[in-house]
Amino acid sequence: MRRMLMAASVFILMLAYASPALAHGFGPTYDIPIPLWLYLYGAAAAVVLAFIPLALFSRKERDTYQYPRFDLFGIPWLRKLLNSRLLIGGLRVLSVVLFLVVVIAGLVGLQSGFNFAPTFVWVTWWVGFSFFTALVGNLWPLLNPWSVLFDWAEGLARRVGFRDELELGEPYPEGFGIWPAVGLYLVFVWTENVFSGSYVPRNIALFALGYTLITLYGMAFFGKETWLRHGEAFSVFFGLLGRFAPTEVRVKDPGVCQGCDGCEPGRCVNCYGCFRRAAPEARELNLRPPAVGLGLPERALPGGAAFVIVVLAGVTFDGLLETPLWLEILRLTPITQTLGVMLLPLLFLGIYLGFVQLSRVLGGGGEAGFGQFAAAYAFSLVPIAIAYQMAHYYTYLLIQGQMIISLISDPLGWGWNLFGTAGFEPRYGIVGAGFVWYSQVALIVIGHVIAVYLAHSISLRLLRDPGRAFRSQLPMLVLMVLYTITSLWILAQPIVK
Amino acid sequence: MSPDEISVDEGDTVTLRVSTDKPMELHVHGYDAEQEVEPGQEAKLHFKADLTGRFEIEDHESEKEIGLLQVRPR
Repeated sequence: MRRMLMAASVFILMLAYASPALAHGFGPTYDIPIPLWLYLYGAAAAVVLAFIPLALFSRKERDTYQYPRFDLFGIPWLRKLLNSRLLIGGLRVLSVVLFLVVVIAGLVGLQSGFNFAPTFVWVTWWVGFSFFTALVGNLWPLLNPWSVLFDWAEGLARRVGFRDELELGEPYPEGFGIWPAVGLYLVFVWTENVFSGSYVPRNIALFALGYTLITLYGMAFFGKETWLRHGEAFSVFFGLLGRFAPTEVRVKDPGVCQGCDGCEPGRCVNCYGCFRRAAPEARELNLRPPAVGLGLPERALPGGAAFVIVVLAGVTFDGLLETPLWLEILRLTPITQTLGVMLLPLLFLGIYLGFVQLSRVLGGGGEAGFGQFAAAYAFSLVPIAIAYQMAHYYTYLLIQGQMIISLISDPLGWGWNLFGTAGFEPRYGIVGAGFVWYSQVALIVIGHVIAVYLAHSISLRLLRDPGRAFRSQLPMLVLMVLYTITSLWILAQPIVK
Repeated sequence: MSPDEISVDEGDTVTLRVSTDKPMELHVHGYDAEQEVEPGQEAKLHFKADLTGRFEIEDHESEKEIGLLQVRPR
């Protein structure tokens, strides 16, 4: 191999140095933008592959509720293990302990440099736990520290002689749907991407405490399950990712689901409130093909599609922030970062609803109304967002995620070495930049194909006619190709700060 | 840092000639390349670019990022 000798003169002026705006919460990006030719190949593949599922699966109408599954609770030792109080209770205690460590490290720990809070919240939990939820399953309903704390508070209240539950059980206004979660999630996206102090430990602790107040109050006022399903942004978010996951929880006894607005009796999949209430014999923990959960018919709550669109836009915004185009937009228009966080979801929503309407014009309305179409198709775009998020973040998780190994030994930055790992240095170069390029493009193209397949099965479910479903899919294909190519385009952009 | 970003190809042998207006300890992330730099003197930082990707160049004295090294795969 030819060896080049590179020499460069570098001049460093510390006085002129300004602190760089850090993208995604905190920490550097390790990836080199994908080269133009690879971007073009990826885009071409997205267009060509879009039609393959359509050609292969367009024949018959199928019930999206029917798919192969395997009940893990059918294996006696696994059932025993997964239901053991020791394991479940231990995980819940661990979750609350980690939450408290974040808050304490944020409040009293070292504010610059070594601190557990930023890495745990932005890398381990936000990126790592999201990936886990999408690729393995949704453990958030079990681990959610606010839900655990609320349970403990209730147990304590009962023990000291409080006869009533802590829940006031005020009726939840039906029209609110999941709009409170949409609003809170939007605030979170702003904090992650726009707020310049998002990686300052003290701010993280204060945000966590503020959100704790909102969540505990919501659970006490409207009832725990009601708030978790409508207002707790992370329960709704991880619930959405969990629909992609290759595992599901299911309740066999329809009686459990009476009065639940998250599922239909007899078709109770990933409705965690019902799962919790159900008797052990009525529970299933199934393996299933990935992403089928996104195609399931569900009771659409007001704000449901909006939440999905806000997630899609948030993921894109995160990448867009680092592109030269965005800098130009900031420079030439009155748009600011904060305005961008709010406008991009609106733009996405407008484009999305336009394409849904086109799809209905071409395929006919069927029995379902516009709202039902809009609610159902939104889910089919989620695999593209998950794939993009993984492409965008996986090297970051691999490298920056290693920091947690040393931080766990010295969470406050006070020079402790609790587990003897404080001196651990992260290893770079686990994956080469060439591999990163190909895997990023492959991930996005795979996400795209899954999305096309999902949209098609949703259209068959809603329209009940292969011919009309086929016609209705043409606008959706254009929409998906647009979204996929936008995602690839962002990965191909030079990163600016 | 001027230039903001240094771009090299995988396998290159890189020499950075560094001058500064303040004493600092230069460190290239991912590479164990470290060099103390004093104002008024030119310091040399020498390493082989065998890891691909984007790496921060930082000053260990102030813990601040001052630039980027980009190593493109061959």
